[in-house]
Amino acid sequence: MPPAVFAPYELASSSRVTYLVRRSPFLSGLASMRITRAGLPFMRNAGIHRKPTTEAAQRFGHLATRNVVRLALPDLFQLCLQNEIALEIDTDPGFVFLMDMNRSVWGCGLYLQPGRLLNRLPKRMVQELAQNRRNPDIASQP
Amino acid sequence: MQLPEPLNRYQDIIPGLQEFADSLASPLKPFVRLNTLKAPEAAILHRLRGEGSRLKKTAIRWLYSIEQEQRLRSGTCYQLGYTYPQAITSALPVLALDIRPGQSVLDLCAAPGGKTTHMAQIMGDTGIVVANDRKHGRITALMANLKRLGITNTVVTNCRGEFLATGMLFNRVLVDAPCSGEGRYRLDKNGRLTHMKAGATDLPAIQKGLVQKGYDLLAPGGIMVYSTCTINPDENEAVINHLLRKRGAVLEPWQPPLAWHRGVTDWNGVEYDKNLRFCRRFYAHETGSVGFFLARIRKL
Repeated sequence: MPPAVFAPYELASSSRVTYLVRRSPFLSGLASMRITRAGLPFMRNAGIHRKPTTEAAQRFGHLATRNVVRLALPDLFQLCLQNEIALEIDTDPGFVFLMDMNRSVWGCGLYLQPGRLLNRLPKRMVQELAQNRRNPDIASQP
Repeated sequence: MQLPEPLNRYQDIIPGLQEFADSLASPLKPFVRLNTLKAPEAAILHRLRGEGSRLKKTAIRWLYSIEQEQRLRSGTCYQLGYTYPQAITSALPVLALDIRPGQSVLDLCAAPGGKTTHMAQIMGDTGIVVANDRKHGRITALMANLKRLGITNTVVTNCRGEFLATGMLFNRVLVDAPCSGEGRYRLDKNGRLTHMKAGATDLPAIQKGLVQKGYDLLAPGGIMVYSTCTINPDENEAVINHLLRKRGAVLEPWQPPLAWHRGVTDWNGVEYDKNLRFCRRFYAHETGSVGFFLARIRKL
């Protein structure tokens, strides 16, 4: 992703999550406030790795220039339901953005060689999407 | 013509009483706002229509009426943060604020975040929105919606609005106050009112505290909007009348994009400030949505 994409933002970190906060001259005025949450969860520590959050992937994933896996809806639904599909792609092992054929990024998957793609979408989202699969209008989309 | 309790006390101020009474038996129309922070409007429309949704443009930008309500919170567009289901009247206070990109905005009673996220969208996710709510459970819903819609310019605080301490004044303040919710009342199949709230909270006292705090946190020249989803003058005009007396605030007229009526200037034998005619009232039978009230106030 081009670094310039994140130029208008500040990063704020807790022990496990890094947040993306829009830079503003008003931010310093909030220093004395007791803040519960600031900005969008951006990265989450996952063991020794850092995983982009689903929300950040959905918002910025379409700007990624690599580690993007484009899947048709039936394959995305299958990944949601089975948590893993077989897929050979020319990319390094690691987190990848899951993009559908309408260029919408759903979230992240984990690509492992040889040829395994693991689902890393939130469980609640997967449950909702699994229900959609029964909707013929949606299931027939490319 | 007799309205059910407790709405019958408003018979003198509700226009088109018969139509209003008839409308109580019909469900409120569902609307959906398209989140252009995540995808272009045309792309979201294409996707929704591909999923079988029938959408109709409204007078308000990004807002569409939709027929398949049951899919509003389960479709892929919802999961991807492309849509926010809301009442059309809920968009009005945000429009009345006349928000510009890069401004500082305070949403004093923000949860579950429909108006907060609408403001962030109008601002193009720039500037800053402070979204406060006192109820912890509702804060969870607010944060979930902010995440789902991919918003980065909002900070969330969790305290009683009347006691919110900030180190700054804001260009815009929204006080969408907790209220009796009478604008949401509907009749069920047995002719009983639904959506009625239980309890004996002194809502006008809370509302007066919130509107004063909101005004105190407004920068000179800034705009504050006070809104509720009730038609009760005690929770609306009486609250603004209190603010005008306490703070010397200035009420401004505003031209809404939906059918509206002027604020009432006397109620139950009490005369209010004449400028309260600048308040705006919205009724469910004329808008097809939740009954609503708003006042636009400027600090000189």
